[in-house]
Amino acid sequence: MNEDLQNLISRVCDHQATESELAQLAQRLRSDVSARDEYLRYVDLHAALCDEALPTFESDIVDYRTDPHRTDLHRGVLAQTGSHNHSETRAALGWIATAAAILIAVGFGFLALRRPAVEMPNRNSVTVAAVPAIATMLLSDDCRWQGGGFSEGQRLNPGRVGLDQGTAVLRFDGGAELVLVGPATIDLQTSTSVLVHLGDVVVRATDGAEGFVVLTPTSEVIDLGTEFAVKVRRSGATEVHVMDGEVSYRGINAAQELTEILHAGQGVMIDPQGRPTAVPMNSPRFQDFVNRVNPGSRADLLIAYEGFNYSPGVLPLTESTVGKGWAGPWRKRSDQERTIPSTDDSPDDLEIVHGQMNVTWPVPGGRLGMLKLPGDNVYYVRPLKRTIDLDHDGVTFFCLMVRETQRRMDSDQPKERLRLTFRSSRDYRTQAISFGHGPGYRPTVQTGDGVAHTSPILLPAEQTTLWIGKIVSRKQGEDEIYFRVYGESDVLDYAEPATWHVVTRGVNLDAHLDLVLLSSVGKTARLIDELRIGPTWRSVAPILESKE
Amino acid sequence: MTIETNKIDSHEEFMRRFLECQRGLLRYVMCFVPNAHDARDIVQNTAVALWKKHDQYDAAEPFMPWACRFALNETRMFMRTDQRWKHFLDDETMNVLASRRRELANELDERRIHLRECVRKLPPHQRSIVDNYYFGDHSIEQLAESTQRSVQAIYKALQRIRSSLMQCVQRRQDAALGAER
Repeated sequence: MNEDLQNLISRVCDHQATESELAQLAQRLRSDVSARDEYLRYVDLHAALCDEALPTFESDIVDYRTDPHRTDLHRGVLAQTGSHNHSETRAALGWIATAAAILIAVGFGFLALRRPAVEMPNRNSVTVAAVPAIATMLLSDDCRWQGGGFSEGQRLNPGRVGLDQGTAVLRFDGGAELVLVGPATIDLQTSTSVLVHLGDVVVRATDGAEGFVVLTPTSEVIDLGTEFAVKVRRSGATEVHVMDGEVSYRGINAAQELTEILHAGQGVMIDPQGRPTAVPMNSPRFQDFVNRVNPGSRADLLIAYEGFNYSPGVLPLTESTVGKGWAGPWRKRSDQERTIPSTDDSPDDLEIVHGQMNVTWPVPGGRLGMLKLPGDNVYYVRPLKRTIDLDHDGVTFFCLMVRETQRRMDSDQPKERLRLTFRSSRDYRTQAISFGHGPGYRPTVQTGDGVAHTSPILLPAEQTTLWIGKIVSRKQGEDEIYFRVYGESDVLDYAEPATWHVVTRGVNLDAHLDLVLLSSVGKTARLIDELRIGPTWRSVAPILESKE
Repeated sequence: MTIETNKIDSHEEFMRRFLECQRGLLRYVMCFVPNAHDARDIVQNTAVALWKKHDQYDAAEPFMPWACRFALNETRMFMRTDQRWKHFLDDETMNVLASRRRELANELDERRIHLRECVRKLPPHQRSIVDNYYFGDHSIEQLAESTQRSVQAIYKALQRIRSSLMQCVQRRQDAALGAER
């Protein structure tokens, strides 16, 4: 190998080459065949290493509604009816950016299915769960489950779900949402299909979730962009009621060409022998069930809370003892905890201010005490009473309100960084999950020893943002981490969103995270408030209290 | 009813095809602009360009070559406007490199597999630099500070590491070829 040539290429790769060196390399590539080969091999090696660092994870809005497992049958039905699934709610001005963002984001699911070009060894070992989750439990109200229970936010694998009483709402990864009313027994089959053995379900499958299939002992019902109810009796008799749009249905043993279309306002009963009879449409809508549950905030479930509820002024770190779920006050990093930078000039006091955030979400006392981080490199740690155990099956959410006082425009990549990191006191350096943004002001999740999962979308500038993260830990199999940043005009729903800005893949951690690290790097001051850590979306998200 | 079987029937299908090849696109772009940061910008621009023209894509054709044409075009546009890269490669050299890269495609695929093992075998201090520089979010300056070394020393170290990886990959590839023979 030609050492001079490699040195030259190396300098180009690292952005170190001078104009003259670039010209020198260009000349060699023009005239020297072997130099071209060596250049291509060298640059491909460099690119493969870079490729591992970001692009797979350079996601953004991951849309659950995209489903790699959708069957040809369902595609065929969609094609024949001319159904297309472009979201009509997408803002027209942002369509290109959004589309591109989604383009790059949705790839997670698909990229996870293929062998990576280079599987880097020193990353968190990639473990593909034998049975991947296909749905998420969004809401569970007064539920008595058969066997083990399901909690809100829990990811659900294919298999039996039995509900003796209560109401639950599930979202399949294909995008369809399903209300389950007990007593009911269903089998989650794929991210786009369910088998209902018994009970009442209401399906809402629109905006990309078309093609969702409900099987019953006597029939197959395929959504064509709609909202419909399926009721299965113990005899196997099935009723289908269409509230909106249309569905196709046929007897379970009937030939494909006997498929019938049912329109909004129509109902049909299919007897155990598969014979259909028209019946009056008679079912509450999906939203009616949600309204009946009246889901509100569950702040009572919080594991930890920090609202910086102090009087304005300077607060010594040792006196920052207020809050819930903490094993001690905020402190600076210990010598052993300092990595980069190795020195720590964080102030010994917290600056508490009032009324400096525009709070558009229902946060009690949200404009009162808040932490002002100076425009400098600041690192504060606070120990949790209850650990987040990544070696157990569980779900943890957090939220944090952040106000960016100034968006630096003096460089493409100003060294501005804000992160909320969950770390382990036992293994501080390598077992961590970090949420925040780096120099590009793009939402980032960083895991383990520095693997970054970055969204290409820009955070809203110079406004209050609400960060919400979700950690799905597994005893066996991949952990899943989700991150979304809400701007002041964004409204929070009763349940977690279908789309996140960052979704990780290939993460497998087993630490017991017992430290929260706030790190703010750069020249601009930031305001921080309402750090909430809890087991469900409703425990941390600032949504209204229950209306009743 | 007319069904346009050669068109992608939904944007999601299009997304899937794009995303399946986005990592390959990054590596493709980096053979003209070997800086990861700039290359990622170009891939982003390519995503937008592809999306705008996705209705022109014939689903019966492989997606990657079609996307590469867009990526090459976006790379050219980027290089024309970027002060640093505008004098690097002319169109003819880019075409020659693209063509040669296609010829080397299988070899490069194999080399990436060998690279996995070679990274694993790096001595700890080199491995740490690779982890922090490539897989972490650390700049050369941060690495220099954390390791108490000069910036130039880190650059040199990276150069040595890549050189060492090149040799390791070549050895493994030669051995594999020998085994096949």
